[in-house]
Amino acid sequence: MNSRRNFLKKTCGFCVALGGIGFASSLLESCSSVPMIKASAANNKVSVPVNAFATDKPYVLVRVNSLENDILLVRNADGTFNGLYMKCTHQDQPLSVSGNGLHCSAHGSSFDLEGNVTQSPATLPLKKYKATQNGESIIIQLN
Amino acid sequence: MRFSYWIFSLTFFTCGLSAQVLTREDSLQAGLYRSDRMTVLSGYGEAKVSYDTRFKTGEANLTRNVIFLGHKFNSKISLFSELEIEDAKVAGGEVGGEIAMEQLFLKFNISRDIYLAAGLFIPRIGIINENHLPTTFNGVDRPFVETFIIPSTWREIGVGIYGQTPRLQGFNYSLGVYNGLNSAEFGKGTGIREGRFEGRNATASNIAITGAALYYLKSFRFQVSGYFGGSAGLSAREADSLRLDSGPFGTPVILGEASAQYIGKGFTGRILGTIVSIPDADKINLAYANNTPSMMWGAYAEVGFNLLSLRANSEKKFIVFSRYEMLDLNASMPENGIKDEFTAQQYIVAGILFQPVRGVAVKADYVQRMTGTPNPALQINPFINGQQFYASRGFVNLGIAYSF
Repeated sequence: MNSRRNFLKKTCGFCVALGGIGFASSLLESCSSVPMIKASAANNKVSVPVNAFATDKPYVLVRVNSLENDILLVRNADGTFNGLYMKCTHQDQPLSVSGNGLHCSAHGSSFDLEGNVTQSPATLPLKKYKATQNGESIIIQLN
Repeated sequence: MRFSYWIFSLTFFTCGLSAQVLTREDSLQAGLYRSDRMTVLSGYGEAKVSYDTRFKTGEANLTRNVIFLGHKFNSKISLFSELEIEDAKVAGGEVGGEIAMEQLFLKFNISRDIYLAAGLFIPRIGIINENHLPTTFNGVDRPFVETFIIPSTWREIGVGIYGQTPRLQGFNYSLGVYNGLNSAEFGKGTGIREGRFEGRNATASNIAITGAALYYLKSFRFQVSGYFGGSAGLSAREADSLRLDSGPFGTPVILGEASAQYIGKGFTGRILGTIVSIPDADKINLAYANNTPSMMWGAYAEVGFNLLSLRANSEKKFIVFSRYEMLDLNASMPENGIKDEFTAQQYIVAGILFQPVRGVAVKADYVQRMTGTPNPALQINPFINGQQFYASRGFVNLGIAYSF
């Protein structure tokens, strides 16, 4: 009985401490959540307004209704853009973006913002979409 | 002649469309990634040679080979299956070797952020359980804490929901319901490991729920996960006669885990802690006399550095790493259990992992194992020619691994 109480005390303390860390971290991150643009494709092209990059993030999520997964539209250091299909090349799981990379929660694969594998088990880079700026819009070419 | 040529061509073409089997790379090259129907063949495996520096004996083993077969029925439904052969050979009447389905489940995409898995699959508990491909972790063997305390690879039949939140990128969650464990097979030296059903004739009147939350923050990955499930899938009459609690969560097993990982600038770091409670261990011991502990715990920390990380755009890796692990399978025993200090163990592991190309790893490490002394009360008939016991033993291991 005593050991069970001790166990519960230790476990709860541990979980609360870790939960606190996670919660605090999530608050920090959520203060600057990733912008999302919902768009439809026309002639295999998607248009994203340049002002979507108004935040401090170098990327925005583009949710195209004809695609199974989102596209991460990345603004490169030289001002050019490229789109990354957010589907893991290992087992097709959806990816999430954080910091300077994309991550697969299922098996731990990671990719950099150019789509290159930085952590296995994925062995192949992400599918890329060509993106070019045209005035106040960025055009993503889907094929 | 021309007619038969066209018939042959048409048949070949049709068969090619309906039964194409492609490797992942083939499918990418063929531009079929967005195809609605696709079959994928993949796999992983590992082999090792281990040398015991104390007894000066060695062992070579093809630890496992796993064939992955997946099929995408449409954009919403996919099949994932993994067939595993352990220890190279399974022969009639001989001890050792195993053929088992490691996973077989259907994945249903509810939305682009949420999917369901149903069938035999691996819950998100710990790091290695889900991410067990041998090319992805340091060390010839899996971490011992995630072998003995969290019995990787731990899979059961159930339904799980997995999701992420688009607005809070990096946050992922999962919840699952599975069949429970079998406390008749618990033991002092194996914990809950032998109580797993792994998809074979599991009792489903006792069930388990699991949950995990993981969060990527810059170069860190934080995770907490938990398991709560019954371990007596018996009828009320049977359970009553054994003085066990039946029902969905009767005779419960509770597991909690927290971990953090860092990957960045050539450095890797992992830290994990886990604890298992079996509050009714005394009842289990009364029923089965298997020395079930009431509490087990384990923790490890690992650091590594990729010496080739300074080379730009190189997929080659040469990682040097070190890991310290401690675990206790008998951390707390009920009054009717016999504690064995041998199950309080520490491991120091140091080694290298060379990745010449993604999906291939050559590993080498040294493992120092330190244990408590076995309880002589548990050695009923000591083997007269048995090896002398050493509390500290060293092992040199070499291994190869692949995954694609």
